[in-house]
Amino acid sequence: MSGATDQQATRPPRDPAASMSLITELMKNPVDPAYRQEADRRKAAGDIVSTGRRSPILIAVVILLGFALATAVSALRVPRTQLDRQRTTLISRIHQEQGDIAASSRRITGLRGEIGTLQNKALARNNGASTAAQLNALGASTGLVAVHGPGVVLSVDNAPTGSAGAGVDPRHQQGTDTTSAEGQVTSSDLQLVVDGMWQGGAEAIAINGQRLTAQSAIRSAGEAILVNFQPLQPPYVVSAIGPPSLRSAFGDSEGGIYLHGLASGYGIRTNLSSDGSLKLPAAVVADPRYAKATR
Amino acid sequence: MIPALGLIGGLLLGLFLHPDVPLWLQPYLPVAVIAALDAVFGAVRSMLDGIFSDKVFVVSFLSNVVVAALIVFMGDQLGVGSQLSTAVVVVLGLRIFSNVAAIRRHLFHA
Repeated sequence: MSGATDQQATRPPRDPAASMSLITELMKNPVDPAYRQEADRRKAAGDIVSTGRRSPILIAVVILLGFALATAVSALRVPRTQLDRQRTTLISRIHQEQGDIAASSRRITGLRGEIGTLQNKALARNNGASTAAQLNALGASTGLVAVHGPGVVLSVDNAPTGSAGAGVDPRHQQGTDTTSAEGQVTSSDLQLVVDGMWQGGAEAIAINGQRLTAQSAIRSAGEAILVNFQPLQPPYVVSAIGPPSLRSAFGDSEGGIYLHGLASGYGIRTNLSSDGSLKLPAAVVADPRYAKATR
Repeated sequence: MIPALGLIGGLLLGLFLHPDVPLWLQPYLPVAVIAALDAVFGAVRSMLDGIFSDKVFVVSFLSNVVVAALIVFMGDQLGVGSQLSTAVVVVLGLRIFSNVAAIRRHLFHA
């Protein structure tokens, strides 16, 4: 910008808006000052002021420009479609694998049921009725057998968007995973709720159809809550089988009080209702291979 | 007219030849294209002002592209590449806008 230097000489010593002068200059004299200078020079030399538009170098540059434009557009657009394709293939693979897992789990549960009935049959033939009852009781308490009975159903859902954390995804703020700031249910919320259920006397619990066992973990991975390593979709429905006092006992437990605080403080939606006959599925648990009973 | 035809010819050439851009060049492409567009709009405006000069156009075009790419390169080396390319785009975008406004005033007297 050689035009700027001679302007500076005539400028008052200190521009009050010195920091803005760059933008003002830009807006006032957008065209390259070299054009004006060159025109003045040619005028002084007696030449025509504006040169023609047919010089070979101009045409060469213009062709180069068009070429570069087309190249840039095509080069910058191709990777995005490739990226999309990779993304969709990855997503479809995830879905496929999840389907495989679900099918295998179903098969395991089916086979387990079969094993159970065969076991009962075999035990009945050998007059082991008490052993069969004991096995069923053990299965019910460990979560290896599907159970049914009276209990409560508690659904917990994220605060509706537009309240507390409007527009912001709290998961994107690092370090908020353990607190339920901004109206999203977190894994630790669910852990406390489940603890409250156990405390209230629940005998069997499932979250969104995932039966909790001694090996179950409620954890978070990114934005999702995982139970038994399966990602869950909100609303989170905690079904618990337990005594009739379970409902009030849960309300008085630490988890129940915490949940109440979440609902009033962050707008998390909860709904607790009693159910006369709940059905909880069996968990898919690998049999212990290394741990042997000491007795 | 002839420069416009040349531009279209170059565009078609690029679209049909579809050359591969090496990966290291790709961060500089958008900024270089914006710089080139700035030079073009400056040239069109000076043409309408009656002070066009092919020499100035060629020199400003090439230097614009090189300087824009250089700034982005420097930014990349300093770890502020995206911010600096934003700065380049803002500055050149401002120039393009006011040049286009001047061209519009010339053509439509509005």
